[in-house]
Amino acid sequence: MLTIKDLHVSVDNKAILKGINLTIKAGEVHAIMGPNGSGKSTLSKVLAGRDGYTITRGTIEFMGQDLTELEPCDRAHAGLFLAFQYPVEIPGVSNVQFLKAAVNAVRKAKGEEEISSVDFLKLVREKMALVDMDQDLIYRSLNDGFSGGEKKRNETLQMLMLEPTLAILDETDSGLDIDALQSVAKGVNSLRSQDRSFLMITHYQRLLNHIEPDFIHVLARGEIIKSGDKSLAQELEAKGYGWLLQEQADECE
Amino acid sequence: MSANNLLEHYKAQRLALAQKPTNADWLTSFTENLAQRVEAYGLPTRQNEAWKYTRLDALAKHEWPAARKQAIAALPSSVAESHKVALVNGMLDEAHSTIADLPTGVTICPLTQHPQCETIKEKVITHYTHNQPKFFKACSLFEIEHSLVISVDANTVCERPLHLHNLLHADETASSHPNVIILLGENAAATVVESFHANEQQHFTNQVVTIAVEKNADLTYIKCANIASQTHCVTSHEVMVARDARFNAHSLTQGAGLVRFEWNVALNEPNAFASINGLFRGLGKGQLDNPILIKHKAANTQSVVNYRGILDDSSIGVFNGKVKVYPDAQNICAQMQNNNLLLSERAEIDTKPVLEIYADDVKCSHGTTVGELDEDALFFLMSRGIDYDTARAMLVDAFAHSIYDTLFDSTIRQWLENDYAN
Amino acid sequence: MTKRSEKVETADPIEEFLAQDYEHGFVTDIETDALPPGLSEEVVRFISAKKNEPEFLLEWRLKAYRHWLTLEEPKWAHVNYPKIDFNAISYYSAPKSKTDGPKSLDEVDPELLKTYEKLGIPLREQKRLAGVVAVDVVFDSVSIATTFRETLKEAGVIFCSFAEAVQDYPELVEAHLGSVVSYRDNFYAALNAAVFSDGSFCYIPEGVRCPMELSTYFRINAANTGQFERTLIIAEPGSYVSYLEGCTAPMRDENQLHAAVVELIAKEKAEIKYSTVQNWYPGDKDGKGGIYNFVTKRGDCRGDHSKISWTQIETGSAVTWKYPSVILRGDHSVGEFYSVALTNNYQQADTGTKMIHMGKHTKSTIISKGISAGHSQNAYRGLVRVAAKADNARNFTQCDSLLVGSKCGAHTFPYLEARNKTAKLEHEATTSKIGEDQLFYLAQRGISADDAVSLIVNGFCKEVLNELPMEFAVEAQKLLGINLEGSVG
Repeated sequence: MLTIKDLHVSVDNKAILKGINLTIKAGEVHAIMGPNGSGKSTLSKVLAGRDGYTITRGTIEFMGQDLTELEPCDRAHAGLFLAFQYPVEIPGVSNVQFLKAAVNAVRKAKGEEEISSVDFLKLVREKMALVDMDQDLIYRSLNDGFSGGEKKRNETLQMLMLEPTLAILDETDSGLDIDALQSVAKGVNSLRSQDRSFLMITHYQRLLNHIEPDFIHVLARGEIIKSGDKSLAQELEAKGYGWLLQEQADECE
Repeated sequence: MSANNLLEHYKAQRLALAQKPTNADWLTSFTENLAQRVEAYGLPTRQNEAWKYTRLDALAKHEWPAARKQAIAALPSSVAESHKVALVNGMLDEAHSTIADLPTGVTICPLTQHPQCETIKEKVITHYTHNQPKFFKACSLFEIEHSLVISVDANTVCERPLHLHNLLHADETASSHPNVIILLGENAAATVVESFHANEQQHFTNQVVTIAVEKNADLTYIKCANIASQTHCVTSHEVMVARDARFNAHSLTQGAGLVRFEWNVALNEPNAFASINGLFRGLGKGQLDNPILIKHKAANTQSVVNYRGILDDSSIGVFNGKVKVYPDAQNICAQMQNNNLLLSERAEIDTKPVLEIYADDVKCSHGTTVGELDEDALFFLMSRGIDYDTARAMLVDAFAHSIYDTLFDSTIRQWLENDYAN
Repeated sequence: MTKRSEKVETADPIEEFLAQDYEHGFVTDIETDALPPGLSEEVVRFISAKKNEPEFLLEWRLKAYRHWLTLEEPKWAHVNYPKIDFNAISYYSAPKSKTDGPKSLDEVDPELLKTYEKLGIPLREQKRLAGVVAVDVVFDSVSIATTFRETLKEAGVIFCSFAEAVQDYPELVEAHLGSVVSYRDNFYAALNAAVFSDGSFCYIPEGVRCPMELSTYFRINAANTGQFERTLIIAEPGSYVSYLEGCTAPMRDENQLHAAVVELIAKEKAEIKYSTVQNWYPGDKDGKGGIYNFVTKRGDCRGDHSKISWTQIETGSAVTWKYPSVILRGDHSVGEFYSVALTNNYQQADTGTKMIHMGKHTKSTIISKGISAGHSQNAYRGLVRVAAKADNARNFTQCDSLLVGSKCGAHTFPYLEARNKTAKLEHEATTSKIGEDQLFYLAQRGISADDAVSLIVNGFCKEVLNELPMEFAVEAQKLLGINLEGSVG
């Protein structure tokens, strides 16, 4: 589904990612962990197509297409979803209006009919219940004045509505209380299927207790320095990142 | 302007100063330029946007000869524990000042005696070359040579507040033009209180205060005037704020004469901050005029302007505030608020909070309200046995208090509440 | 301009006319009966004679002209434009076939009718808006035809061109003309009073609720022509009218002047709702050409419990200078101003309102939304004045600015003057931007940049758009989107 080969990315001429290789197959859940400043968020932004990130080397292939050629909204149409670390507030645009525009844009790209208002509202209500979201929030301005937990629930709701092929969760768990975390996890787990994949980017192991990954990668200094199964997370939790960095330094010598 | 507008005489009198030979080239060219400005602009009229709501009638009745040097018996009350500075008719009165024990690095003296006289002159002249003064400012700047300088050297913190008494004391109709320069070096910090006082004659003070707050320095400046109907005061504050520096001003005016406190603040470098909290209370035929201009010239600068006006009798209050965000000054945060209470049938408030924005990454807001005392609150207090006058005073004080609350120094607050306000 | 026009398949004229950047840039090639450029007392007399005007009107025009000569062009607005040579403008331009005036639509030059079809104006009664809106069309300086006159007549409503009103109802015109906007009011009002050539006239008798929306479309066609129309609406006690105004002009390199005057009079318990969608040619991407739109619009809430409401969507013109105002003279009268002003490229707008509270218990609301993009400058200027005798006046003002791109300017100049202690005035203003973060967020959810801008802009303006009659709201919403296309990205 997603194949990243030798990806080098720089921001303002400063190299951030230095040769990432990662393959995600349909139905897999991957987690990328790593210390602050390791390049985790850069990876998510490059995948979604944010301006200002220059790919200096390497390729990204998504569903058989060269992802780097696509505009951000075309990537969304192709089924790539990013749950933002910091969801953006847009005063004046109501949540429901926004959701409907997004759902219809994605449907249209797939050649499907626009959803009727009745069906849409029914669907939104259903999905909101799934993530324990206050129903009033859909009539408020998008993320405007939402609490941290409400914003992350809203990100999950959007994911549930858009039903992406690949969902990238960028630090979705940071700063969340346990209730909100469980709601978000419930939403994600309900979407898990044979043909849908997830890439979770996180600093903490806590999220992985609720959404069990198939693979874990450790990103440090712009490279994946270790990959393994979920037991790696426990090891990281116990020992921190220090031993890995040390291990890598040893190898370099 | 009518022929019997005596301000024309004032103008002629000020211009005469430019004719006097000086013994310094810088001064000659500076005053020549000022004279040109005075001639070119002439007296402000209400056609001029900055003077749209200001009636100069009270000033137009006298010629305002310059006050002479005069001795005073005693200073009015001062902020507790402060270093006192007496400026009488624009001249430093050392006998009534307590500046002998100033901390190292803090200097208070006339410009010409200041150890860094040349640097200061340079800074001030450059400023007024780029910010050409108009009528009143230029008329006052003729006295630049006699400026009082308050300077705090780099890395110096002046712990106790400096209390500058700005007095006009004369037995006849008179004017005074006290120029003050306040300089805070890098990382310096100080609190300056300046209060006006005049004896019971027709008096007019036309003052320019030039302030430079250097990198990461912190200046709190409390400026207050509580004046009677025969006293008038036009003051311009020209403030330059450098990188990471903070300027906190409190502009407190009260009275029955004309008081115009102008604040012209330039946030010249990134991360500079300025706040001005103002309270104006008009009585009698008082005219309280508050022109404010905040210039966001650099990125990441922030400003907060919050004024409250209370207008009683036939007084007129004016709030004329402007926030200007220059091109490329991104990530700006500016707030401006002006709330007003009209207490009498004849009182008037004119308020004009302007935003002029030439950059896109800005978060600016402003708000104004005009209203009268809350009848329900008044009724409630009276139903608890409090008489009308007391109840009214309580509510007015409550309205004013949010401005006092912005003052953190309790000794200054005490002085303001007990001595200044009454 | 490709994407959007591809989407439009139906031949809906309004859809079509909205489908392009500035589609209205065609020039109708018909003979015009125009005066050579220049302004003098003779020109004023010529216009008046041409229209066979009664003596009082000629006198009034001449007084205005003489007063105008004593005035200087105002300079205080936050706009810059080269000095206008008032002698290079032609003050009268009428389609030739109009000399005798068409008696019915069938006599109107078919070229003209085609022009309106291109504009999407439902001049023919069987068109889309048939039965909903009565339309008067002002082309350059003269009014061409008014639809639905018969239906309106049954209700007692007079809706006709100004010139016809002068002929048919001179006493109504004489009694009300200039009573809201005196020829002494300002430079452009004086000019308009001297040389106005036509416009719309509307009279709603006592107790009548006008059975349909009334609408005027203004179009400037001939080059070097100034358009100086004059609109007068009189709402007698207890009546109601909703009036819509649409404006277009062809693309030309040189600037064209538009200096209209609108006077509204609402008597006791009467209500006038006046909506404008202004889409004059704004000039090209480099700021060349476009209309100078210097308009004086004012309503007089003359009677107690009367109400005047202005709604405007301003997207066109190179320079706009316009402050639809309300004089709240009657007790309990209500004034409203809802505005969206959008500027792009090198457009400049200085617009806002004046609410003059004179009666007791008067109430005004101002909602202004300014959107600046490109290199444009957009200023809100508003005055709320409470006179000494206006007890219990209330005002609420909200003016917000939205910046798109970093080369534009957004300015707010509110004036509040209160001389009565029982006044309660509130003013709030904010400035914000459409940022890259917001656009990226929406793009990640599959919404294209242009759609994202529309979504944000329409959200930003919705309080104003909600005030427009349905047909206009749709039109306005699309206009906003079109005018911002390509400004982000």
